[in-house]
Amino acid sequence: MPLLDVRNLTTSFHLRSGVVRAAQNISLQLDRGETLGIVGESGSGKSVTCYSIMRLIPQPPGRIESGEVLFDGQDLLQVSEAQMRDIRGTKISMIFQDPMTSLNPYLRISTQMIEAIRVHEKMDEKQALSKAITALEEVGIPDAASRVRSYPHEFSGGMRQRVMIAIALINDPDLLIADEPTTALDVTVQAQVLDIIKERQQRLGTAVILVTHDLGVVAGTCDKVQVMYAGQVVESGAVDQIFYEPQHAYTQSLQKAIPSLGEKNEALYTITGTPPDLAKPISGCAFYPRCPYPKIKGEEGDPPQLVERADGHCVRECGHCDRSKPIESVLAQEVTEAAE
Amino acid sequence: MSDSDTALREDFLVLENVEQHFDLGRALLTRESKGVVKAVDGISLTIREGEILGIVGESGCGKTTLSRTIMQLIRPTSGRIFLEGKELSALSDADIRAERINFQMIFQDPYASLNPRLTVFTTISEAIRTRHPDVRGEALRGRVIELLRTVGLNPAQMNRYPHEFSGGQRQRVAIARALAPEPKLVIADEPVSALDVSIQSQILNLLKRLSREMGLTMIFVSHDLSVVRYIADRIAVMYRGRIIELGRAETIVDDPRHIYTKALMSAIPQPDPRAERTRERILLEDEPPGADKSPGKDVEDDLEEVTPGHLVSTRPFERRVKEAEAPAQ
Amino acid sequence: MSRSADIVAGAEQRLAAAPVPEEFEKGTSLWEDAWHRLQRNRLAMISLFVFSAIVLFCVIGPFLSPYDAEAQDLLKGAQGPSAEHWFGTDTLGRDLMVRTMEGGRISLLVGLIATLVALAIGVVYGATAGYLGGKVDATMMRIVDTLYALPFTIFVILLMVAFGRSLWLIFVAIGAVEWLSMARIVRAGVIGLKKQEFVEAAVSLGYSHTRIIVRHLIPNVLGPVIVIATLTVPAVMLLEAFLSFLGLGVQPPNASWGVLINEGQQNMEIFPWLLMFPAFFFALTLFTLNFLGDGLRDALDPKSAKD
Repeated sequence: MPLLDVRNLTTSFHLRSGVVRAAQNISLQLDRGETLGIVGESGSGKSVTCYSIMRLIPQPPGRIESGEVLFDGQDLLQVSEAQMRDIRGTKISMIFQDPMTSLNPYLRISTQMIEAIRVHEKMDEKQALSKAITALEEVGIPDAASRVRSYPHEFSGGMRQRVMIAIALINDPDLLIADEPTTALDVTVQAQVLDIIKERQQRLGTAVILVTHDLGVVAGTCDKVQVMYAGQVVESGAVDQIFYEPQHAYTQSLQKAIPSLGEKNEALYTITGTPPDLAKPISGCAFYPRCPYPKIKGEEGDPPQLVERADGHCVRECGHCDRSKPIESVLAQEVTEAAE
Repeated sequence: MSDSDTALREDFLVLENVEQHFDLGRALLTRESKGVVKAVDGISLTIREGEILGIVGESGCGKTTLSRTIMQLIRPTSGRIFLEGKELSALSDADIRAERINFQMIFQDPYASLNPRLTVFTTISEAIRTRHPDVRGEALRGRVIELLRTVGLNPAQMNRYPHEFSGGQRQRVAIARALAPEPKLVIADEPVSALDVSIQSQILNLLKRLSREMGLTMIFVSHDLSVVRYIADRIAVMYRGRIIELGRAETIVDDPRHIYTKALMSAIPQPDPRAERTRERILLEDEPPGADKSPGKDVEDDLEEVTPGHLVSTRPFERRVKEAEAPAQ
Repeated sequence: MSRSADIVAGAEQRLAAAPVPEEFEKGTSLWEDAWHRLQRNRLAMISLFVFSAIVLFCVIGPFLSPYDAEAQDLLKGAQGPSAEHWFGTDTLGRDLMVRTMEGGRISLLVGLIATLVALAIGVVYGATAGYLGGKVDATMMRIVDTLYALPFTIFVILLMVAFGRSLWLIFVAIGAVEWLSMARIVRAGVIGLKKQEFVEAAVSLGYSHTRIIVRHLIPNVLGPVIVIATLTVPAVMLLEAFLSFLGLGVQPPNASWGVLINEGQQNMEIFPWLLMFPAFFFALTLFTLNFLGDGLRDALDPKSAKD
């Protein structure tokens, strides 16, 4: 049994202007010790998925419409709010993007860490403090015993994110959800922070969901990947499958669109247009208007289904575009056009 | 590169030992100086006409302060800045205002860089009239339409307000506004870091195309070496207010000499899982705390040419390599 | 943000070749957006309607009434409401309805004009101080602090003694006090805005200080200022009532609601209607303006604009 088994999770936001289908029919499995990367652009539903698993969606306007979130066999969508509070922070923890705002600026680091420990565990102040210091040492904060009394603003961004990780991991959760944990950090600091997460995972078998838009981070950190677009999973599989045998047109285009250190072209491949408006129902393939493949059928039609192509490699694929030619030749043509 | 290269000015923009120091003030009771932050600490640079210079560095290295100093949004503490031989740093505030049409800036956050109360048309026409105060009516409209097309926006939407556009489209509006006064120099400060990957490539292509087509000289500031590598002809790597390495983009990426550049490069994750598994990493010791506020020795121009056009700082580097290690697997 | 009408950007080449568009889409400004949001706020819209009705009642009413506000008829002194005199008459036999209308004119006039004066001075002063910053700002704001420290009543009494009593002096006196807080709010707003990149962009385009302040800063701080202004009107009306109560405000035979309420409370046990009617209108006006101010705050707040 996987540690986390999400089945057909659908979350919407009911706004005055209409219903935004932020995450549709999301399914994912995660074992202990595994890292799942969720990749997508802003508005693709990757954060909404994580917040839904944690049941942190603001309701209203948000609503988890359907699905199951089986964590250790227990459906998190059915447990009481009190039980859920207990699960958060002990069994599942979350770290957020912005280390500047996710710590309370008015409280000492020690106060915030002791609070996090004592909410879930009976322990006196002294014991909790020494546990906090150990946790800070584990995430590589030098001189932790004296710096634990500092206020957040006395720490740099990278240090604060380490503190956040220390707090998130302090009760040895089974699952860590990291929502763009390194986006606000410099690359050298990012590397250190990712190392800390990896090290903990190897030592304690923590499962990690890493939400990011950075394909490089995914390549270096994750075992499995889900690519999301317009609230749907368009492709999922092992990291090598996604990077070396991408099947969906969006995954393929995304990889071509990022500048890399290795090669230098005169023009980058460009995904034209912008993502669809999720407040409007999407008929057929969500990526259709931006798909680089030659179109052979109109946009209308049944929404494509997620199909397992190879072992564990699922793709949402439509029959609206001519995919007989490999993506490289299709894109090469577009790139020369764009360069003119 | 075209034949017109010969006509291009070699010394289009010249920085001579530019410094930008921020005084932290005095302590309340003791009146002791709290020190000076040397955000830009003696930078000398020469930029050729039509070239794209990338400036890379981590947060706090002074790259944003440098770009604002070149823009004369903050006047330099010392040093001189010449644009086409004219010394900007010596001009009075009023003269600078008249000179501003020649150098424009593209900002990071497309949500904050446009006045939310003005339509796209008003924003751009205002900017056009800084150079051509007499253009109005149909002629002005025609120019706005032309500019919007240049940056890939639909002119039919020019009466819309910024909030009615997506982030990528707003950045296009901001680019159109920067181009409106027909500047000779454009400074782009992290213009794509707030954008999604698919939009990012659109804007990068656009900037590159514009610079080629219009012969714009551009300074492209970013924390992302991969992005800079794609767009820039030359790259300057900044660390603590100084340039520590400067050279052609390929040279910097393929043959970095300074240990900091190497460490920086080695930290960038590549979208290639197999390469990632074997990637060698160079880790540096943490910065000594408070070093940025201590007065350092002023060494003028410590860059040494290792190969033609490739300059590396000869200053002793205070951070040592921790260990070169393969990533944990 | 509407993604819906997003064009397919990136197709630069295709666009460049397209013909001049025949029609230009009309954009929706943030003001229009705010107005739409306000329209959905029922309480605010009812308040707006009631307030407009009160204003019309006070402005047009006296022309339609057969009675003159100053015409005394001692034989009909202090009668209760009747078919003849809907609101009754006061101790001097003057029609209370006309007097309430006339009083409303003055109260509303004081409220609106003093607020406008405060608004004009406060916005320009605050925006200038905030934008220029440094020593100019420090000096300008110390002046504000000094004026704040002056006791208001003494200031008004001094003005009255020096220049004699007049309605205009009340406008000046109240406006001179109210602009201080307005200036502080605007200054704080401008300092926040000044760091925004669009202001830096305006500076780098070489726009003049005046242009930046007037076109780029003031319109963007106006939202909260309008809310404050709506809430200042009732505050000013109360202040005027207070001055009149002290005998420093509007003088007989002119009457404001404050004067009428003062007269009414002297006889409230015997002739309760003398207090009831003006007090009712005064209270109703204060209520509607406060609700309207709250509604405007919600409508103009960009955070609520998100949904």
